[in-house]
Amino acid sequence: MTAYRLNNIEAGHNGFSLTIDDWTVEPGSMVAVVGPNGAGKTTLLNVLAFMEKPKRGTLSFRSRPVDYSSPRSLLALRRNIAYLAQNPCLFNMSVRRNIEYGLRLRGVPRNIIGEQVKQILEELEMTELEHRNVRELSGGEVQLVALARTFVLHSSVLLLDEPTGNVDKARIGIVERRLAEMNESDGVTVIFTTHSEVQARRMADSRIHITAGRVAVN
Amino acid sequence: MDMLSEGLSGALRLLLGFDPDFTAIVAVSVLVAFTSTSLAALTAVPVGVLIAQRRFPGRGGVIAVLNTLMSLPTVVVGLLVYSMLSRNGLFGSLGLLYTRTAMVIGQWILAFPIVAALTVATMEGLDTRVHSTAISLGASPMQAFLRLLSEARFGIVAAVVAGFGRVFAEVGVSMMLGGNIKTYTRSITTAIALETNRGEFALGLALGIVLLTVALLVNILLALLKRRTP
Repeated sequence: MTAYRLNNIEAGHNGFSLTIDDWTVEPGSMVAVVGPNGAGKTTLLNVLAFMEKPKRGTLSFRSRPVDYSSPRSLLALRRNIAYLAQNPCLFNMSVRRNIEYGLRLRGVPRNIIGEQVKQILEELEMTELEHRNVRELSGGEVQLVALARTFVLHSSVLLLDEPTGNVDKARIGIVERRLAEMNESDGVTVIFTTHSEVQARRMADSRIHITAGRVAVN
Repeated sequence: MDMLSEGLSGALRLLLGFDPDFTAIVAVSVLVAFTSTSLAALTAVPVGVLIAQRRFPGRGGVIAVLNTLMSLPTVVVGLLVYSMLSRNGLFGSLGLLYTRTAMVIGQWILAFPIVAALTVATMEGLDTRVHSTAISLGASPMQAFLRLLSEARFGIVAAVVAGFGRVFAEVGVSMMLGGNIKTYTRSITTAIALETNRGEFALGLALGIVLLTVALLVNILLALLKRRTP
């Protein structure tokens, strides 16, 4: 069973088009999507997160084609993955409530939510932020909270658009280590975008390069 | 200065003495304004949210009309509703003229565009990423919509408070549709107009102070609510 299979995909809007002839992502792999600004990295992640319907082609998730005509099926698929958008948006409430949000949507019992939020705050060394309102956070802290909100879902697939963008150097190591642990110990499939070839080589076991909407698989 | 100090001491005397006429005037104002604002909140907030969320032909025109109606003169509303509720009017048979219900109807018309237009502005001012972020985290369309509403909560409450402020302080509708009947439709503003005509400036000022105090209390409550919410 594959995690994703993209076949003859074309996606994008406002005159921009991303095309992928054939690409497969194996479960438990760590894939870096590398490319300059505007190349189509975010479009690709939006397609993989079922947030954007391709104009043509077939996207399969866990070897089953995605049914875009069924909102219920799309909702179920989105709850199987965890997606961190570029420039993430936090809701106007406390850090803790933000992190809890996805778990609440998935009907996780309250006591388990409490434990998991505490655990992720400790893992990312940000326990002091728990009760702060997001309006009081710096750009780097916003990114960390958004990462925590994504990691806490314990999904089998993590899609991260520039996960360490805005994060200060001291904490980049913490985030990368946590990602590596989830990938190696829990078998989580991780697909992340980055500008940095160095970061891609350091973290990923495979890389794809996007240039002006064309994908080259290494 | 004498008039002001007399007004202040008069206000204190009336407030601490629980004068029945004075209490009735304040009660009528609060009751009618609260009812009309609640009706406006129940009707105008959904309309405002709908206008903000949907794209339809003439949408810009609807928003422009709502914005214009925010400064609707109270006497014009009073006159229009009066013509409909008077004996020969469209709804004359209902016998609503000079009742609190008539005041509520008039005040609802005043508050509706304020609450609706400010709700539209609030919803349109929200971060456009809220909805897509909620969806990406696994929210259904309804859950994402509720998240949007929650993000807009302070703006919507402020819209309702602005509506309350408008109707609580208006005089035209209350005078024309309520008729200033003692202990029944006499509100703070109509009582101020009456007492000023009679030359009772101190009582008028005392009622004005009560009016401002209620407005201040509502705003303090709003500020506390905002501070308490994480």
